[in-house]
Amino acid sequence: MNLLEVKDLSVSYGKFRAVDQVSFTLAGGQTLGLVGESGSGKSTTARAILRLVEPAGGQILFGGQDVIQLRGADLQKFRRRAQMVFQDPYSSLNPRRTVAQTVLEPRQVNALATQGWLDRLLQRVGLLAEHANRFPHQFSGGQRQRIAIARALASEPDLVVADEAVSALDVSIQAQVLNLLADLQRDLNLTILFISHDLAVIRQICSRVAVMYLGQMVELGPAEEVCQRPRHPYTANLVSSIPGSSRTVPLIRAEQKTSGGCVFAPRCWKAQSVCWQQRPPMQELESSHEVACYYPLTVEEVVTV
Amino acid sequence: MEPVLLVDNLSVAFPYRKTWLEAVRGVSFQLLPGETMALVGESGSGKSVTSSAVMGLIDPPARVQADRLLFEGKPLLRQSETEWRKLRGHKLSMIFQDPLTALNPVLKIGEQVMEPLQIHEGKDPTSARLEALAWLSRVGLNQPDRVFDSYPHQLSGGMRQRVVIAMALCCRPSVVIADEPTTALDVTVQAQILRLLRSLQDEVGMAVLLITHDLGVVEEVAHRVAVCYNGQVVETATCEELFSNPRHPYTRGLLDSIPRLDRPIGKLPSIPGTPPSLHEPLPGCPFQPRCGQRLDRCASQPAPMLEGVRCWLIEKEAALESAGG
Repeated sequence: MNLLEVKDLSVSYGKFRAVDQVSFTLAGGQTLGLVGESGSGKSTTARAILRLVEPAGGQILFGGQDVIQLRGADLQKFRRRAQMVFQDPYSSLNPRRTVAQTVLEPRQVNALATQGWLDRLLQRVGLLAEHANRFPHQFSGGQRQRIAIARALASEPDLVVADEAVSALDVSIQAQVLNLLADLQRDLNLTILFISHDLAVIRQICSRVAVMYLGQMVELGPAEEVCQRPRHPYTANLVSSIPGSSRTVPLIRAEQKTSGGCVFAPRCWKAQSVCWQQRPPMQELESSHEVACYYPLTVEEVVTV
Repeated sequence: MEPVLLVDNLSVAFPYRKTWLEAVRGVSFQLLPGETMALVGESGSGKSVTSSAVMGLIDPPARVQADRLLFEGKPLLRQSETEWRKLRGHKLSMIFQDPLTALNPVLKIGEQVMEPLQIHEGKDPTSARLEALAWLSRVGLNQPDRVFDSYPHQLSGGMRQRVVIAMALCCRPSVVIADEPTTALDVTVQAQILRLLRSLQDEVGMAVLLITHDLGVVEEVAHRVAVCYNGQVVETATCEELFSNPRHPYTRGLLDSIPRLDRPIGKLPSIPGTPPSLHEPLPGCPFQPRCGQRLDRCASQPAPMLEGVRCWLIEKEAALESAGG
């Protein structure tokens, strides 16, 4: 059963189309990564799903309900079931509130808070009960992100959206928080939409990954398969650009704009005239591995990549 | 070979509520002509403060001390501001992390690239212009004339960083300090910029001191590496050695905790705890509270630097070896 179903979602900021007809599904208890570079629309997609920005078109179904149509009490109820962890724990926590005030707020809204419950939640995210009355500035970046995670979990949500949740952390701390998220996901059977620019981080925590480029989805498939055998030229380029990667792909050219065709065509070494004229639809190459490309990398090409 | 930059026992401290916060505590390294050496570490490890001290960018009341701090054999400490100005941006230049703040938003790119050429090399406007255009195309900008007449906000992040690199290299420096040069950039752009830096290094022959938190970047471009932790260098090695045989427990923990595509998925090994605060320096090894292999003396005695590793385990190994044979 799909918890979240996104169909042809588009979001515009003025005339600029930040997200252009993106579709995917996320089953309950599953993890999906959205990967892309700046301007790929990955964060805007997440924000639209949580109704933090209004979509220009498309449909978002959450447990069968159309999120875009929700108003008033129904919208509040939805917000309780879908929570977010932001990138920067320095700006996402109110500096004048104690940990207890921050973490209990979503709970108090629902009048369910008790002291024992708070202690257990803090322990669950790797903090101590005595931390409850401290302020954010008394914590390190990693601990702050644990507080933000505790806040997100407080209303016992069905869906957690984590937007670059470990990107601001140092490597040794990042590993701790990634492990925490993976444990929580498994133990609480959380559904996570995990947004990151780092494919290796996504692979660590997600079973599936969607690759976005300039507002469009270009590849969607099992995380390990997309990382090891990328089929879209852009994904192949992304994988080979990761420092330390032994792979090489042809250099991509400088960015240009297209109208109508494939968004990656101006930079693609495989582009033919059809790529400039018509946007390639998502097509399934093998079971649950989809690519929006007329000339996806063949198996032989993937091996040499 | 004479090192082009020699840093011997550098310490930097900042005054804080009647005490001193020691951000860098006894850092030593040398940079040979034409090589790339990376200072790698996490937030608060002192890597950026070290680079600022080398560039003479730390002013009193902060305290910069060193047994020796030599650039091409000349002492840098106690230079006058006039001497610093002759050096900075000329033979010793810097590439900063964020190209948008490194560039002046109200000056055209061309004027900014011409400036070091006119000031340091005494070029007249016409020849400075020609050389600036040549540099803009050398750093891979497609339409140098158009970029020359643009303002920084009209360029993408990758293009801006190329401009910053052109400015840093146009006077053919002997040392460039690159402080997180690709951290603000997307990964595909990062790959292009790293490639560019390597090819320009072959051409210009400058030495690069690379400051970064990203071991992937280090692996990609550095010849040698110094790993920083809590204001100290804890391990120095060649790049191959460090990645194939890391010896300090911190280095090992750091390498293990990076998610990588070429590693089987599983729980990431992580380093427990957090780095110690500069407010309460530890008497022994600063990594000891997080270390899985600590010995009794680690908590009380600072570890000596042996074979490029600041760790008591190395001394223990050496003692065992000499006892055994």
